[in-house]
Amino acid sequence: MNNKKIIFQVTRCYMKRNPRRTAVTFTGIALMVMLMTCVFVGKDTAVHYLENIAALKSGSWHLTVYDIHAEEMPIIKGIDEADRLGFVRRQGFTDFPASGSGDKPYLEVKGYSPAAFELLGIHVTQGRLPSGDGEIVITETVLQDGASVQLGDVIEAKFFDRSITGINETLSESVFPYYGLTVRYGETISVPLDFPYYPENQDFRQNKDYRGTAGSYTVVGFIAAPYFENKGSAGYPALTYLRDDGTLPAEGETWNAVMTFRSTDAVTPVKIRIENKTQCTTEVNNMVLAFSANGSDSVISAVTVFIEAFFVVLIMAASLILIYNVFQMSYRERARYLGMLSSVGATGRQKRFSVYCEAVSLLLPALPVGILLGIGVVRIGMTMLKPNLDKLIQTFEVVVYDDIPVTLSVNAANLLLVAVMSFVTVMLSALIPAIKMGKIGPVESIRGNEGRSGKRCPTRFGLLRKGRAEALMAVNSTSRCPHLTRGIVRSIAAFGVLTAVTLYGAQSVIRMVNTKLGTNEFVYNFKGYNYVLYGDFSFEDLYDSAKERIKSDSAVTDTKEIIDFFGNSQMKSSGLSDEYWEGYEEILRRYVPSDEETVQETLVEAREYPTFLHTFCLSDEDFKKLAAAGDADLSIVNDESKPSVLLYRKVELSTDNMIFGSKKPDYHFIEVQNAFRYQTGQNFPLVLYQPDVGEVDYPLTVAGFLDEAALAPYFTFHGEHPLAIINKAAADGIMQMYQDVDREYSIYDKLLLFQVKEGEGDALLRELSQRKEQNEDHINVMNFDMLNTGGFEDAIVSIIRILAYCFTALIAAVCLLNLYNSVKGRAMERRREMAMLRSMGMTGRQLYKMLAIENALLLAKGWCIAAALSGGFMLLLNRVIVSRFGRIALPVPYGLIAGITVAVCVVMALITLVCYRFSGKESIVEEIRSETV
Amino acid sequence: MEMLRCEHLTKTYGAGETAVTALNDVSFSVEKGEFVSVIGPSGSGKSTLLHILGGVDKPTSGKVFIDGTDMHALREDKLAVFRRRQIGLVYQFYNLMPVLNVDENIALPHLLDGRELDRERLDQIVAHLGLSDRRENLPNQLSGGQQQRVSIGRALYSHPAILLCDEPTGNLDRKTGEEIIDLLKESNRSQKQTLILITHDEALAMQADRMIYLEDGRLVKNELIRSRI
Repeated sequence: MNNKKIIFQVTRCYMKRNPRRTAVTFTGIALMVMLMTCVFVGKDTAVHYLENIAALKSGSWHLTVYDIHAEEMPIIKGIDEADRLGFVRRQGFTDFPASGSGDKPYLEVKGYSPAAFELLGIHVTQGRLPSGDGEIVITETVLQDGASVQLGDVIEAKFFDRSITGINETLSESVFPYYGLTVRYGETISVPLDFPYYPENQDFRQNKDYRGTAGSYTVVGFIAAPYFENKGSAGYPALTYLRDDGTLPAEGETWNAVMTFRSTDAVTPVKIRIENKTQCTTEVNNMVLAFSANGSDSVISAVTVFIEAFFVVLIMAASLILIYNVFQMSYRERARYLGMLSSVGATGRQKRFSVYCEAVSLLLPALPVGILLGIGVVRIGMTMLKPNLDKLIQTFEVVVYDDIPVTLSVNAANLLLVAVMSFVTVMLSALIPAIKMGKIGPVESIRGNEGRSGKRCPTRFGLLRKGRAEALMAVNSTSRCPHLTRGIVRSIAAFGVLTAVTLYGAQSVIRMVNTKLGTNEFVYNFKGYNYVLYGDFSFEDLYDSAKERIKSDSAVTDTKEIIDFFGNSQMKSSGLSDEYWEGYEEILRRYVPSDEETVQETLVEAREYPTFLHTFCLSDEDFKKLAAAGDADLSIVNDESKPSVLLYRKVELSTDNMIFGSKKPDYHFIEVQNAFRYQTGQNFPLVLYQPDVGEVDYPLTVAGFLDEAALAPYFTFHGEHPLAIINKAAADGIMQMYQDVDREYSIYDKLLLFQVKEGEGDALLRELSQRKEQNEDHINVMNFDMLNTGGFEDAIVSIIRILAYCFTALIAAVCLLNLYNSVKGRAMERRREMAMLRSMGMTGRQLYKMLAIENALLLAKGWCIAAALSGGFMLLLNRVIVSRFGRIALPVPYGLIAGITVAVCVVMALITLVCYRFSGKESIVEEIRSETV
Repeated sequence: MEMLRCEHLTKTYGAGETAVTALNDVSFSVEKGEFVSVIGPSGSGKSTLLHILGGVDKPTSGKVFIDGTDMHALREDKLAVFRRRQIGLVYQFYNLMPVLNVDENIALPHLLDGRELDRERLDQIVAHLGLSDRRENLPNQLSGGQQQRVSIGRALYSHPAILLCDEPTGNLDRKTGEEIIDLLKESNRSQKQTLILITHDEALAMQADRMIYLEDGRLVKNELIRSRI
């Protein structure tokens, strides 16, 4: 038997002799493996699920290639990295006489290869997909619009493109700003696919430019509105079958291709290759690829990589501390038997080997156990989360046709990574204990003096007083026995640092993703209303009449009116703060980084003209409440006769909401903390546009300023234009100005929020719905929730939020376990000490008092370290995010941290009670004789 | 005056076939101020007897009366209070609190009883035990004899009615052992404390007023060596 075998045998022998300690260490390692599995398998599973959700928006394709000519087809078909490849051929418009809508007299026909149907997320609601030439499917919108078409009908198609010609001699040009088109008299221009159908008019003529192609198609199915369907377009989408048998685009014709890749890492290289080798343009499906950090949006990719790295580092840190603590827990006993080995000639290296040997022999069985547990946790976690996620997706009006299953993404690479990371973590955890063990001399180990200093400990006479016995014990236990308390202090500090930093990181990520992806500039937070009546200036009488009807209905319990002046209200640019202009310039420079002249010109121009101002009027009661919650001069606020305004300090500028040209730079974000130059009490000229007059100033007095918290009960605001809330006197004054103005202008909108008693108000809602239809939607009634209906991106943001908080909870659970282990370890090491105290006559009450004081001391120590470390980490995190993402306020979640602090104190007390519980049946003698862990 | 009486004490460990009887129907009584030695071979039940008398272990059956109180009928906390007021325990392995220095170890039971520290008495005891220059040392910084002296100091400081010593010299050299026994005897004499001493050493046992001999858990001899009256 060689040396190592002997050491191994002895180590094994002690592991068997001390099953409790072995079990604790094993549990720690297995939990770490489980968590690693949760991170890697959980991440892939969540990403896969999110990709499936994201595919709902525009399909599951990774890359689209546009405008492929026949000669370029071999290059596209020769992309080896692609695992699925589909083609789309635009066939053109054809007349659709069966249409039920006067605005949509055409079908916009495209040929899809079988893979394209799949990759572009085409979902059949009736019939089937085309499987051969001469078959067509049409969007089901045609049926909703009342078209007289059914399965089996035959459509005779003669394909054409659309253009318009200017025909009005007296009109110099017709402008279509939304489409970026201008047509002059006698000029003919092509129009985009989504160009609407205009009735016959004197200014321009719509042309059908026949392509010379035709076909006869049998309707074999109806499909759910595809993602590219545009409600304003003149044609309904219709799809035919495109053979994928080597057919090439005809002369002068181009096709599009959609593809997915075996590995999403291939997307960018293939995209670059195609762009270099062909004239084609490409598009990356960022929604799908963002989660694997392969999207073309560098910020989203960076955020994804950051999230992954951040959480892996945190889990490793938590695991490292957990296992290290477990090894440290049994330090004294281990030191004793290693001391014995040392006394019979074991070298430092052999003693270190003993520790590593124990670590590895526990890691080997812990790996399969941890991996299985991890997979189980991910499976159960995702199954539990799924109903909520499904519900959430639906609240964002994302249509889910089929159940999106949660598929566990377990693969060999992942498991290997888990094994490697676990091995590294275990070895790192064992490293310091092993080095320390290697250095212990035999005599001090056996005597139990290892690691103890020979320093004298002055008598604490301040504590040697009546009633302070517990404090005496507690203070000395925590200060004179650091090897037993260090683990607990470390656990508390780790709990504080890891949960606070995870929470901060999770909130920052959510804020970043929300800022980048969130679609709602405004969220109406008004509570207690379930319907909204909406009307604009042009049809104010209809709105007023409906409002009276609502207010007089007995089913209505409460109403609140909001007047929105946006679109017509502006403010002087000179009233914007330097901070605003600095932010403005910073964003501008992202677009034209080296064009100083353009920067200066744009800045001068921007400062010259007024800027849009979101202006709302609430009731005077709400105005006062807002003012009270904000920073306002109440004497101005209380003077209801005087027009006054409350200004919301923040605006959010970004490369997404400020466009200075067609070439978009990488995403950058700036949160301006104070957008205004004004002071409370100053005059604030609201710039209003009056038809036939031009811009006029309407004077308001600045009543004060609002921050996020003050605004929160009413709105959440993420706009790039400043926000102002005016009082009723101001709104009345403005409306007075427009009393005689032609009602064709859009001056302001009114919203009446109202609460209808549950189960009542059917007659009212029916009547309002009829009024809406009779008046061609010039007034609108909708559910209150519809006001805040976010886009698809908001659903994704919400899912990420849930996952981030789940992860925070997981980290907190690891920290909790760590804390439990430390407290338990110390309790086990102190069994003898506790028994001695009891033999000396310490009562249960005194014992718990002593433990409570100890806890308070340990918590104070732990939190001091945690506060310093987490402060540092958060600052670092903040710097990293700001440097990459832009100037964004990432507030420290003090409330949650305070909550965690309280929770840790309570948890620590409970753990202590559990670990030191006495049934009264324990034999003091047996405990005194007992060995440690 | 009777200070301690035990009636039919039996202590059995385990159950069934593996049951081991450590004490078997042991009864005796001790007068106030008496010095009693308990002697017997290893495994005869000496330490078990002492632990039961000290209230740190419970008998399987039988009763222990100290100053008329049925000790094992007391609830856990009452027993703890009773123990710290009436009994001073000196163990073979000292059982000092590792985080307290000499002063603090000696004063702890007194403070646990909610009493004010008598600094003068503490100084006297420390000086008497010859530990004046070791007051700020933790137990692991003391020799075995010094630790045992601290243990005795702890037992003496709060004036317990009975001093129970479990082989207090078992781990010490002869000279130190003698010093420890002298200390205990002096305390027994001067403080009129009842002293029950467990030992292997027959010569030491013979220094007591009475000697109790245990064998296989049974009291086989209860012999008066000398009378104080």
